[in-house]
This record gives sequence, C-alpha cells and structure tokens, in this order.
Amino acid sequence: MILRLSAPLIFLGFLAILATGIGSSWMPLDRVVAALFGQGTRTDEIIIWTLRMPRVLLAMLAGAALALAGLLLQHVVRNPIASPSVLGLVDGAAVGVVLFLMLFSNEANALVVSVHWLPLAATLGALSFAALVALVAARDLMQPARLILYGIAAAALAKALVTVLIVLGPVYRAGQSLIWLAGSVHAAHWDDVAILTCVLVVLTPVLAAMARPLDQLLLDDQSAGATGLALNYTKVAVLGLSVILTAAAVSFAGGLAFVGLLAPHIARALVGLRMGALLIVTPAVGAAIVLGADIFARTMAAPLELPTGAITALVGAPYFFWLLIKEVRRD
Amino acid sequence: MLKYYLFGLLVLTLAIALCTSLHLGLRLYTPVQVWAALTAPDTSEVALIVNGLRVPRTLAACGVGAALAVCGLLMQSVLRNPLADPGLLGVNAGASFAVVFAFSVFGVSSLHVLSIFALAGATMATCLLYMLLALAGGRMTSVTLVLAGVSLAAMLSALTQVLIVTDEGTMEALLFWLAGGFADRDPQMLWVALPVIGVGVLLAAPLAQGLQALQIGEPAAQAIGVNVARLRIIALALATVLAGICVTIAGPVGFVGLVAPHLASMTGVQSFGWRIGFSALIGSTLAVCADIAARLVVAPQEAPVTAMLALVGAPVLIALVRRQDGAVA
Amino acid sequence: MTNQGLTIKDVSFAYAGTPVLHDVSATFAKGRLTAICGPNGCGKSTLLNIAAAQLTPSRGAVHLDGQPLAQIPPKSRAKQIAMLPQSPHVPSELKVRDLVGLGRYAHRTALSGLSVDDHDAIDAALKSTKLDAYAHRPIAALSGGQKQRAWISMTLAQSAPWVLLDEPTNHLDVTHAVETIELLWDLVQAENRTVVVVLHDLNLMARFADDVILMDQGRIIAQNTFAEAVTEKRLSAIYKRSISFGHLNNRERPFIVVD
Repeated sequence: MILRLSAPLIFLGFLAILATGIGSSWMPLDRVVAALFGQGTRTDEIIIWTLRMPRVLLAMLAGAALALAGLLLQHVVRNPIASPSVLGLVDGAAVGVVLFLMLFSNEANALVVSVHWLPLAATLGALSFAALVALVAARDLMQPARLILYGIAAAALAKALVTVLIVLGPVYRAGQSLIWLAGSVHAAHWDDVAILTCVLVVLTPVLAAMARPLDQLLLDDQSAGATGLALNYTKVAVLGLSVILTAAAVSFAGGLAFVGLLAPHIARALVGLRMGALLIVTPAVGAAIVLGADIFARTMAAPLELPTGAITALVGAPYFFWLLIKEVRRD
Repeated sequence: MLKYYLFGLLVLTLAIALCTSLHLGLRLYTPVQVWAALTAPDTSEVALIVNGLRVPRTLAACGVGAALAVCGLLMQSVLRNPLADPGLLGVNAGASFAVVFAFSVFGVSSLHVLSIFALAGATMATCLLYMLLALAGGRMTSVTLVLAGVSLAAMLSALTQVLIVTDEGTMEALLFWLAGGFADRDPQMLWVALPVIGVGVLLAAPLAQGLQALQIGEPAAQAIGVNVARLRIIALALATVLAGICVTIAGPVGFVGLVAPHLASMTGVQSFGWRIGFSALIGSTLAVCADIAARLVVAPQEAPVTAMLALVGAPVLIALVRRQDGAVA
Repeated sequence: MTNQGLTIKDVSFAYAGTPVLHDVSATFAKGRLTAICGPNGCGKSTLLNIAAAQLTPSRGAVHLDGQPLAQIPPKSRAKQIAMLPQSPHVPSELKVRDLVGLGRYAHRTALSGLSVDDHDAIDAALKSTKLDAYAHRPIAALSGGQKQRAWISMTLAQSAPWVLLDEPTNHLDVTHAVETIELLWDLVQAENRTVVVVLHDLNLMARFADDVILMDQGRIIAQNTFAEAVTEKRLSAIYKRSISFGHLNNRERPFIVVD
C-alpha cells in the first residue's frame, strides 16, 4: 500500500525534474537539480526559476485540481464516466473568463484590473452554469445519467456564448481566448502559480475533512443517509468543491480535456476505493498527466508548441472509449 | 387532411423566411428593390449584394438545413436514439478534421477535392462510432451514445487543433470555414451541392416504410420482413453523405439535425414519409432564420450561425431529456 | 409510556402530489420484532423511511424517546436507528469488511482511523452474519444470500438499538430468506435490539413476528401482537383474495394459504 501510495508521487517528482530540463535548449538533469537548489550557474538559475518552473508548477497544479474535481464529481454523481467538462463546468468557466477579458480590457488590450480576479470570474462562470444544470436537473438529481445530458446541453450553450463573445470582443483578446480555450500552460507566470497554490492550500483541510463523508457516498443515497450522513449538505459541498477546483484550474490553464475523467480511474486502479488514499494519489496522477502532456506538446513539433489540451484529449479519448465499452458491457 | 394544411403552413413559413432573408442585413431593402435586383440584375449595389451575397447564403442555409434535418432523422431512427445528431455524435468533427488534414498535409485547396475529403471524414467518424457501438454489444443507452459521440468529437477536434497549430497558414485560411456559417460561400460549390442534397432527401423517401417498422424494435422489424442490416447501412450511408456535403458547404453546423426532426414529430404526424418532408422544411426554416439572426444580433458584425443554433438547440436538448421517462440511463 | 420508544403520530406523506400515507400513527415496541405487511403500494416502505428520518413527513411527527426525530443531528440519530433500504447499492469491487466498516460512520470523527471499538463492532457484525471468512473478498464474489447478509452486517455494525429493514428477503430463495429472518430474530433475543422489518412473505411474518402492522392504501388496518392483529378476515380484506390459516400439529403459529 505504501509503495502504491508513494510510487505516483515519486514518478511525478521525476517527471517534474525532466520537464524542467526540457526547453528550447536541453539542460541535463544534474544542472537542473543544481539550479533548483541554488547551486547552478546564474543563467541556468534564471532559465529554471523564471521560465520553466512556473510552467511546470502550473501544469502540475492545474492537473491536480482538475483530477480532484473529477474525483469528487464521479463520486457524488456515482457515475465513473462523469467529468467536469461533460457537466458544462469547463465551458461555463470559459464564459466567465472571456467575459472578464472583454469587460476589463482597455483600448490597448491591456487589463485594467489585476489578473488575480480572473479565477473569481471563472468560478462565477462555472457556478452559474452549474446552477443552470442543477436547476433543470433538480427533479432528476437521483439520476446522474440525465445530469450528464443536461451538462452536455449546458456546455453547448456556454460554447455558443463564448463564440459570440469572442466575435464581439477585440481581435487580440479573441486570439488570446482561443489559445486559452484549447488548454495551455505555456504563458505561465509565478502569479498564476501563487493563486492556484493558494486555492489548493485553502481547500486541502476541507478536502481532508470530506474524506469520510465521501467514503459514505460509495453507498446509495438511502443507505448513506441511514448511516448518519447529512446527505444534501454533503452533496452540495462536494459539488461546490468540484466547481471551485475546476474553475481555478480552467481559469489559468484552459480546457484540459479528459484529465478530470482519467486521473481518478488510474488512481482507483492503483489504490482502490478508499478516499483517504485517493485524495492523495488522484491529484498526483492528474499532475503527472498534464505535465507529461505538456512535455509532449513542447517537444513533438518543436520549435512549435501544440496545445496541451489537445494532447490530453488525444490520449484521453481512446482510454475513455475503452472505459465506456467496459462499463456498458458490465451492466 | 390536417397534415396537408400543416405542410402548406410549413412551406409558407419557409417562403416567408426566405424572402425576409433577402431583405434583411446590414442594409435594409424594400421588396421593390429586391424584386428589381432579382428580375433585372444590373451593376447597382442592391443587385450586387442581393444576387452576389444574399441569394447564395439563403440558398445555402435552405439546403443545409434540409439536409441536416433529414440526416438527423435518419440517424435517430437507425440508432433508435432520440438524441442522435451529426454535431453531437462527432460526424461534423470528423469531416472538419479531414478537410484540415487535406489542406495542411496534402496542400489541397480546391473546394471540390476538399468536399470529397469532408465526405471521407464524415464516413470515418460514422464508422468509428458504429464500431464503438458494436464493441459495446449494441446495448448503448442514450447517455452512453452521446458521451461516446461527444468524446469522439473531442478527440477529432484535438487532432484538428494540432494540425492548425503546426501550420499557421491553415489557421488563417480555414478558421472562417471551421467556425461554420452560410455567408461568403463559393457559389460554384453551391450549384453542385444543392442538387445532390435534393437527390439525397428524395432518396430517404423509399426508406420511410422500413424505418417506420424499425421503431417497434429490431427483432420485431426483422420478423415482419424488413432487411434490418441492409436498411441500417443504406440509411447511415445516406445520413453520412448528407452530413459530409453540409460540412463542405457550411462547415460544422450542429443542432439542426437534433431539433428539426423533433419539431416535426411534435406536429403529431405519424407517417414516416411525411416526417421526412416536415423535418426538411423545418430544418430549412431553422437554418435560414438562424442565418438572419446571425446577421442582426451583433450588427455590424456577423455572429456565428452555429452559436445561434446552439442557443436555440441546447434548451431543446434539455427539454428532450426531460421528456424521456427514465429511458436515458 | 408515550414518551418511550419510536412513535409515529398523525403522519401524512405524498410523493410528488400523490398521497401515500394518511394520518398514520404507530408505535414500535422496544425489544420486539415487528413486521409491516400489506399489498404493493400500501405505504410500508414509506412508513419505514419516515421512521428512520430518511423521508420528512408532510404532516405529523416522529419521536424517539420523546424527542422529535427531525431535531436529532444525523450522526446522533444514526447511533440510535439503523436502516437497510430496499435495494442498496455499492461498487462491487469494495471488500466486505470495508462495506461493513461504512456502517461505523456515525461513531467516527472526521480524521480518525478505525478505533478498537470500531474494529470490535465490525468483527461482531461479520460474525453474527457468518461472514468472517469472506471479510476480505470483494462484494462481487458473494452469492445473493451472502450479499444480503453483508448489507445486514453493515447495518448491525452501526450498533444502533433500533434496526429497520425494508424487504430484506427480496430476491432470496426460501432457505436464505428463512435464514435472514432467523438472524433478525436472534438479534432481538440475544442482543435485545428492536427490529422493524417490511415483509412481503406472509408465512415468514406468521412464523417470526412478535408484533404486526397491517397496512392498506396508506392506512394502518391493524397494529398489535401477531395473534391479535392477524386474522383470516383482515388478510382477505386487504389482499382482496380469500386467505386462510392452516395448522401443523407441532406448531403454535399457523401457516397462511392464499386461494
């Protein structure tokens, strides 16, 4: 068990060092490690600390947040093929982001307010679309399948809104939004990393406290309620957490498809159904997926960069198909 | 008798929509001006705009709407799934991918050749989806099918994105096309595509009886003498061709295929043959109206038609899901 | 007396506008096995769910030892009342012992692991359902009867003096059905728990129930000890078939025959 818990974390650490080494010029791992610990040359340290580290960290944090969001969502709707993007959260957050970029840009395409407000805008967008889905699905909360279809409809609606907003907005912002929508971590700053870290740090104790109620959600609603779980309160809290995590990740890294779907499955295959272990391993797996995808995105067509979200989609979709076939055959 | 009146009413609505489409836009023209431009074309601005811009886009919208509606109806009946739609199930994404692939990898720029690629792409996506269905033992529920389609679409658009990013030229040349819409389409393409659409829609008519029988379930249809396997392949092939042609004219346009057949069935008409006709008329009207809306909502700019359709289509999708009783899961 | 035990007073309930219970009052006596019987759709399950605070009545109130049930926090309530719903569900790859452990939710604090008490309760529950040998198998590896026992085991691990079960013998063959009810009967005898069980099988009711509540169309028809409550006439009336009692010479209780 200890090995299964620590293996993903060790693998992630290794991947992070590798990712820091890769760039326009390859930096051998010993120099990376030296620079990380302040023992490298001045150039190495600048490259590592100002260029590569934020990107690597952002990829990891966004992956971790999406993976957690997916884990929570799959448990609360009890459907292993649910994911934040299917429920319209990602596109909802995109509406928030595009609206934010439009409303708070001046003539010169510069933001007139601090970028720190961006995650708030994304959260509001995700929340309003989550509320929309909840509203139409209120009757059907016990039927997760319907929830997913409503989510797809909401996502289509949000996509349409985003398209209209992009057409309406200034051209430069439109281009920026398009890159962002495809899912990318290449424009990472320390600011982004700091904000996302704050979100995750604040949520960590909350998540730890939710571990036990989440375990109870393995049971059906009635049984879970009978064992003393405050059902409605727990469901709302878990869905809310999922929305916040998705929005936080999406506001800085865009739509990284399938991460929230895949990571929980890999984590469950590694450590089973216990929430305590899943809450540690799932984010590590999510971080590793995005980091790996980003390494790929940078190196595949170098010097060009592919959208990281496209890579996760290309890996994720076939896995999803396999999962789907397995699930359908099992019933 | 009622259905004849309804049919007349739908034709009338479409006619009104078509006329409106010729009059409205950045500039408003009077019926006299439009009539003059149509009957006696000269080099005046009115004539150039009406004949050169508005007539082609109106015709494109009309044809694509009808084709997508029939395509949606065919898919819904063959897959016995009320949520089937070329947009939702990834067929459009397949066609888009093939077009971008041909353009950026083979350097194809002739629209006629590209349209062949679009057809191939649509076929590929349909085959992939059908393969998934078969692998899953053919027991897919609505929600699983839609999830499969949405994911297939996500994968194919990821591939498209990769191609676009690696070739900036593609981005500029095709972005406008990938957004989907009826404005500024190549008139030459239109004259080839419209007759094909007409033939396609007519070809659906002889399938009507078999498709109607299929609604009572496969074994039962087989028992009353329908060659289910053959019917499926023909109907899906026809649906794929229609979807592919639509993509070559207008880019990926979603939701018409989902909404139009349901609106048609809401009229209460039972016979499948009539439903084909009703769906086509409603699809045309929807697409033309969406095109008019696209011109007006954010004037002087153009809004994407696809967005207009999604704004109408998504609520309809929600309504459809709500109406199903427990059958989704 | 009125302040003791689990009492339901003047309770009405409606599902989406359709009334299911009309002004129902019932008392579940401590230390006895009470069976709730009646035709499909008579409101048995609804009554049970209301008694376990899983449904909130539209009118009326439920009291546990004089305290309104609605005011007891979920965890405190779960320490008093355990309930097994009709078709419970859990991912089938979960191990039996982990499932039973989920019953300890009310006894644990947010971050602690399983305490000695928790382990003892789980072991005892597994033992009394004869599942100790299967503790580390996944649910998927169990037979239908074993699966049902695993769920009952989870309910027992909750260590609640009140145990409510909704048709626990559904889908079980005769042997497993009888064994399940025998298990519940042992709980009442050996551990002095109070068991309330919704039953479809009238003969199981006739053999094991101390008290019986007969229901029909959202109302309680009779509520008393078995001998007082269950008569041929009442059963025939609520099931709308001619129902008669038969007797075996060595048995005190009758068996029930439906014509």
